[in-house]
Amino acid sequence: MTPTPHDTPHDPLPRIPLVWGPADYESVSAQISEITEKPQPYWWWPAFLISAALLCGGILAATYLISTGIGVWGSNVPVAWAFDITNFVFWIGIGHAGTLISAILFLFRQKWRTSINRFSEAMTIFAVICAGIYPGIHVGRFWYAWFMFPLPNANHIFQNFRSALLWDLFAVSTYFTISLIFWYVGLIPDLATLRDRAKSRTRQVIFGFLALGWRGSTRHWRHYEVAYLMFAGLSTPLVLSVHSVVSFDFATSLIPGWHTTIFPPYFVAGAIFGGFAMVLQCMIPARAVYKLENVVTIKHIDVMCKFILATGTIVGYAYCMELFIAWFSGNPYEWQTFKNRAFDGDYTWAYWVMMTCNLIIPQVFWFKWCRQTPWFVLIVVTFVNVGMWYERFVIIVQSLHHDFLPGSWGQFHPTWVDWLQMIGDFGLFFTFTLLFIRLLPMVAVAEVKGVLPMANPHYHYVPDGQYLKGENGEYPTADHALAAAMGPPSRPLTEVRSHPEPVPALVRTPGSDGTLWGAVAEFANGEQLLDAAKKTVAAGYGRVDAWTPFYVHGMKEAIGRTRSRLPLFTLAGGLTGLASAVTLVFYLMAYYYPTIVGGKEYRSWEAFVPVMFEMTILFAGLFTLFSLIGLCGLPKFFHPLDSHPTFNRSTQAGFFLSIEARDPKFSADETRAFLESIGGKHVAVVEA
Amino acid sequence: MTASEPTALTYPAGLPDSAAPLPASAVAGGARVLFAVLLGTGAMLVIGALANPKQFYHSYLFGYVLALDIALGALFWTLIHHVADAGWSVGLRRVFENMTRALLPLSVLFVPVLIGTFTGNLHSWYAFVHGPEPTEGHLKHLWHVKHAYFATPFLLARLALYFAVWLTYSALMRRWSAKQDAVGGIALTRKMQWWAPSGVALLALTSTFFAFDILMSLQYSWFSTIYGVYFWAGGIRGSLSMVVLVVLALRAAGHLRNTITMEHLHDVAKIMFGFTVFWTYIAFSQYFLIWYGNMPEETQFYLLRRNGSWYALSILLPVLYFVVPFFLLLPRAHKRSPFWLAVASAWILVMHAYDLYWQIMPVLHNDTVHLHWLDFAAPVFMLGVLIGATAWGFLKVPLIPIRDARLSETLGYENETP
Repeated sequence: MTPTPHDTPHDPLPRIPLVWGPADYESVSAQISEITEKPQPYWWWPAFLISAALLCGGILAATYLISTGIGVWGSNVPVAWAFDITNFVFWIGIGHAGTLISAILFLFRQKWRTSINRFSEAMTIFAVICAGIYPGIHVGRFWYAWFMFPLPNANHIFQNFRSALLWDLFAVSTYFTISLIFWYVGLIPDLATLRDRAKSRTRQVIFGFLALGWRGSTRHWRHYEVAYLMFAGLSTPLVLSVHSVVSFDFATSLIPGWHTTIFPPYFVAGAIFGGFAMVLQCMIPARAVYKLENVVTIKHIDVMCKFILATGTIVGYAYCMELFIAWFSGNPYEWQTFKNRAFDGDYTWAYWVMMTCNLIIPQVFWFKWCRQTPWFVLIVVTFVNVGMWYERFVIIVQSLHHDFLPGSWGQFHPTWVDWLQMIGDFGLFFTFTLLFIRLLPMVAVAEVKGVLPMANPHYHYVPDGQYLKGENGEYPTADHALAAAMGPPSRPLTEVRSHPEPVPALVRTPGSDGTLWGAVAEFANGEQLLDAAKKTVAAGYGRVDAWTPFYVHGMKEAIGRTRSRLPLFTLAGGLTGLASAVTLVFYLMAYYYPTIVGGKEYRSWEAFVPVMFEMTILFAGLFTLFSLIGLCGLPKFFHPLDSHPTFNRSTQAGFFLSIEARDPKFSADETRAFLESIGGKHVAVVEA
Repeated sequence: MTASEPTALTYPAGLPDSAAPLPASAVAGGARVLFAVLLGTGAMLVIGALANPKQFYHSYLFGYVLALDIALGALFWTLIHHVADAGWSVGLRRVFENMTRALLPLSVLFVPVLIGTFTGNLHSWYAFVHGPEPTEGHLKHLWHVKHAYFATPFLLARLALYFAVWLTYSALMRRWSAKQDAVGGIALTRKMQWWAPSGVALLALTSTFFAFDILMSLQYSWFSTIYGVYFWAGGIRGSLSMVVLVVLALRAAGHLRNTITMEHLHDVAKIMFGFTVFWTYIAFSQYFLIWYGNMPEETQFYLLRRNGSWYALSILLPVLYFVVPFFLLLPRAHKRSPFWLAVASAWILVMHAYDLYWQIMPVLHNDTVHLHWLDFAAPVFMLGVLIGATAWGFLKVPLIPIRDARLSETLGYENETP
């Protein structure tokens, strides 16, 4: 083994740990779990009641709309899409930051994401719910919502698979499903943590049910880690496709200002931009109230502001490309539209609100002070959220109100129902967000444990006075000084924490007939456990498993396992989805009821690509989920090891090694002695 | 460039390989071959220019853009390394930096493109905007727009600006990087990190408008807002495959074998895979929206590429440039195998040339594909310039940034895939 770089005495530019201060596995588990275990701070109730009241306003508006008709909105001809689709695109966009953080940053190994991914993924789900309302209600006839699904109507006509609106349905429902699965899979280890910390039977049962019997087995982690990678790999193109498909709603038409080729990547960048703004909008107050400054550090805010700057500038680039090509193309309609938008139309104010909020104001993030001052960031991201709403308003309303023919020009005036519906969405979003904070761990506990310095066997500890200082004994940057001010990281425990009562040599399992399940031992830290696992396998034991609060790098090899074959299931799912989609669309559109739409040929494949892509991802994701559950043998609500008095630490800060009685080499006394000889504590043989 | 004098350098202890600049003797054989190739293809280009100017300028542009956008891609990766404060790619950064050395000769080699344009042999807008003002309404409007945009002083000034941005940023990044080899410390790291973000923004804008001015305007009444992104997507892919080939060649010759390992190349391969999908996404978005909208001024681009055997090339493009590399790079074993990685990179590089050929040549031969010997001479010459400039760098400066503040992270780096 070549010496690792971390053995060098002084890194000239030390990496700042992602979690600041002396956090350890135990304290991280407690810090995050206690938010859901203790009573909420006083402000939570007024915030919840206000949000819920706004939500009721939204429900009222939707009820009025459905019972009366679409005329209660300001939408008209030519502005047939107005607040409804603006809100739809706005909320879909908000969701994108969650997927970017959970999937794309994961693929790029940006580990700072672990502090914020759970929160943003939850926001994704709530935002997609807010968006998903509009396809259902925007024609005012909710009882026809089933028309969106691939079911034939009375004349045996199916949906038009060449329509961008139907692609939207496939894209958004796939996105919602995959995001929900990704979020839930990420939650499983943390739900297990909550279960094992539970003081009341109710919490234990609820979280026990939701955690599916997760106990941090390495045989599970080995599939879990690969499944997580698969979800990230699937979500990355998915998130790009979703806002691209949303952009097709506009770009496939010929309306000036809508039909332009940069729309797909431009919408995606805008979505991530707006989504990051919303994440910060919610995260900055939550971080302050729940004292999460050591987990969601000022560096996290700094980096997220850089993302806002980058994506805002990409969006600004797209605005400029549109404007430039409108002129350069020599297309008078296109130029007329942009002149109207920017200079001489009825909605120039909206255009400049958009330009100011999205392109100009975020440029303050070039300055470090602006990125690292939470209250200031909060102000800027508010502007960004406003700007992104106006962007969609400009694209939709401005382009529709002033198309090719002066005779068809018109104006849009929102009604109180429009406003109430829009505000109601915010009520829905914040109600769900507050409930989420209340009920579920808002930081991915297991993942944060995995990025603590103590989880990194190569982390180089320096004497406390030297912490984060460079070769010359100075802090290389102001950030290093800030992080160092919160104290150096804790070192891993070297001794197993004691248990008030001695652990019996034979742990009885209620209802057992006396046969043995196996032996188990606790170790102090991941390194010791890794070492012990290697010794156990070397001693000839085969049915070995390690139980850890997070995946310890190298553990699956140590217990004699290889890389999970789960990706084959993902591939099979993808191919199944693709084959189903090809069959569905070509059969329905070219044979069952051949239809020509937009002058395209029956079998022209291009228009079917969005549906084929979405179904590929949907099936691949579902197969991954089911194969993960199947390969891990979950749900498994009861396990003999649960009777071991300290075993519930395996989801918090404990490291366990087990040898099953089925192992031919197993013998209760010898195995127990062996586990003790390799340094195991709390060693016990457990009844099956 | 005094800082890059090899004698002034102290190499840190514990480097797994010699990082000293290659001695001239190590590349003498390769240099002779390269020199012969450059001389041979250069002579062919001169003959071509005299014999068939129209074909020459188009083939020349094809070869030129192939090398240029790879060099720009290398500049992009150099800058992104600093923007992201990356650690794992420190060793690779030097290869990218050396590739950007080609920007200087390529700036000189841009002159024939300009001559082609201003002799009316290359861009058809030249005759249009320098002709009389049309009387028909739509054409008249078009003429006024193009007349303003392609006005000679404006065009030359902005082209000069693009090259100035590229040369400045690439030279600064190389200079500071070489200086750090001598003096070490973190001040230069922070300086490069401070300058890099503006470089990425300016690179994006300048290369977009370069693509508009030189490539998109080959069919001057055609337009596509995504075209700049399409141009980068190709260049970024091209530079990645080039860097893989350069690293594999260095490793095959026995250099950096323990410094830039398969762990690093595995990550590069993942990014190549990602950009394979990204290119497809951009290419499909452009095609799809134009196909769906079906407006004559937009569809002309694809209609032209449906004539004769161009149609076959059009259909094969996504198969060869997306499907094949997608499955070549999908298995983990391929991403970690030097052989498969070399195959995939070479394939992507050839297909990148194919893509550019498909973008440029139909303008000249709009009936069907006419392969000309200049279509081989020009890209070989230009890639020769690129490789020569890169190799020159390996003679001048250490093979990796020996005193980079993040060097420890790149050495002994392990890929953490589950």
